[in-house]
Amino acid sequence: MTDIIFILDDGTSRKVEGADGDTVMRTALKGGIPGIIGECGGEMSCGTCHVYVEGLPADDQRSQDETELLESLDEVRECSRLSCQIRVSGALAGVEFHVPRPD
Amino acid sequence: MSTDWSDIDNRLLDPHWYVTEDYHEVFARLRREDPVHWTENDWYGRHHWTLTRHDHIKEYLLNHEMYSSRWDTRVPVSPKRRTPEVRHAQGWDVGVGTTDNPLHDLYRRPINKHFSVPAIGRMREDIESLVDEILGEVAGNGSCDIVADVAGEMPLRVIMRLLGIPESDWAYLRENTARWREPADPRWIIDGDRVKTAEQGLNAVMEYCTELAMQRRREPRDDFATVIGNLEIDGDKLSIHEMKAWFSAMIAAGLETTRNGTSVGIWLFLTHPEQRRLMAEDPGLVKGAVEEVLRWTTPTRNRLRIANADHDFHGKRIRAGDWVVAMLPAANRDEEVFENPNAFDITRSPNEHLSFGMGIHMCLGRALARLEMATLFPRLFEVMPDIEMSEEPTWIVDTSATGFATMPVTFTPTELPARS
Repeated sequence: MTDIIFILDDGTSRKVEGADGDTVMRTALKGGIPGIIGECGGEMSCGTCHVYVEGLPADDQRSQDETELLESLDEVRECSRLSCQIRVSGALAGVEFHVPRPD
Repeated sequence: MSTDWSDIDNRLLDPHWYVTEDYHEVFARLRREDPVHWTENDWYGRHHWTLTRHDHIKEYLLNHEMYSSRWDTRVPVSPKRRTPEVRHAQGWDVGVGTTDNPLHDLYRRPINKHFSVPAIGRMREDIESLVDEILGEVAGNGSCDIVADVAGEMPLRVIMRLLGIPESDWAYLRENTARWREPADPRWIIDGDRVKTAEQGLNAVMEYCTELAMQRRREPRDDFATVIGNLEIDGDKLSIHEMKAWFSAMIAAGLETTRNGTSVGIWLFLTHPEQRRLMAEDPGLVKGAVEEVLRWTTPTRNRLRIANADHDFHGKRIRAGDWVVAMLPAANRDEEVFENPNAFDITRSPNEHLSFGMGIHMCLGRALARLEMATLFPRLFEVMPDIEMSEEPTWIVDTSATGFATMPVTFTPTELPARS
């Protein structure tokens, strides 16, 4: 288990316990984090689990497919990721996942 | 003593069995008594498994490694094998619905960004003006057929304009798509033969889409057909064959399902005035109302997958090559998941219906379908506050499509009011 830290749009911080191997998107859903919907279940088709994150392990990079889906989103940054593509592990301890403002 | 299922088995894929709502009771019985049911379907000409429980169907949809989509996405009109030549000619070999992974993702992933929730959200104003255009055409008449004039026109115009297909060809494509997708319908069945009707419709759509692909390859335009033609896999643009498969998938999926969900949705509001009032009083309920319309209606009734290996599934032994059919309305009315499942309740939350499927083949156009319905429903009742049915609507005769063939309504003729 690893505590995943979500920073909401208003600056508040929320910690949700994530099971190793599960995705950050699913962890957010379990914790009821507003702004993370994960409508497609992790198939990279909906774009509703967008986060800004820095400090991920070096081997956790966007795939080409993820980069393309991110192109369709508003306010994409260099550090944008789809949280359905990030696996929970001990390496995420202390990493902050910033959630964009919900629609 | 075991139940004699033979009567039920021979009806489960019969289009004429679905012209009333009685099938829901049979699905409920299957859920209770034999949720993974070996179906000796001699009427159809092939025996198959029938799944009816929500949790089982969800598991099946998510496990694309065990359950292959290679034969078809829905139960086809005939159980006969398609030869490789036919599979190629009709685009099944590269269609996004009928390819398994790893091939499937090569086709699906590059297009997802065009249908993501934010990408479709940017179409809101376009859809609003399109809805107003359609309602404006009928508002002054005082009567119309909701299916043909409103619910059918909306997705037709959306998809045809998106692809850049000239208006002069819309009627031809609509007619042949209907033949292909709903071939038992007495309005267009050819020689009383469903199989022949579906083939003719499908082939006509495919030929048209091939022409369209060649034309856009020669002369690119500012339309989505050109966007598809410019999609690249491993650095190469899609072939004409691959383009055609995409166009036909968008036409087939776009025209029929949204029309059916929309017409039944309007009927649900007309027959549940208290739910209609709730939606009118609180625009925040529109999104949930659309989900409930989708759950209650389940515009596409079944899914087909082929088992890839021998395995045990909730107490039954499924063999490699077995056909496994999932009945989505049965999942969407599962009392283990939905309280009072037959009730139409727009405040239902959560509402984990399976109307768009789930997993890698989950409906590509779902955000668009949701936007179309969410735009139309409140606006229609604002424009036609006294709308009422002049005749009972009739259900489409089809194994898989749940919707109305016609739904005549009357209302006080009016001019389209400005949007507030």
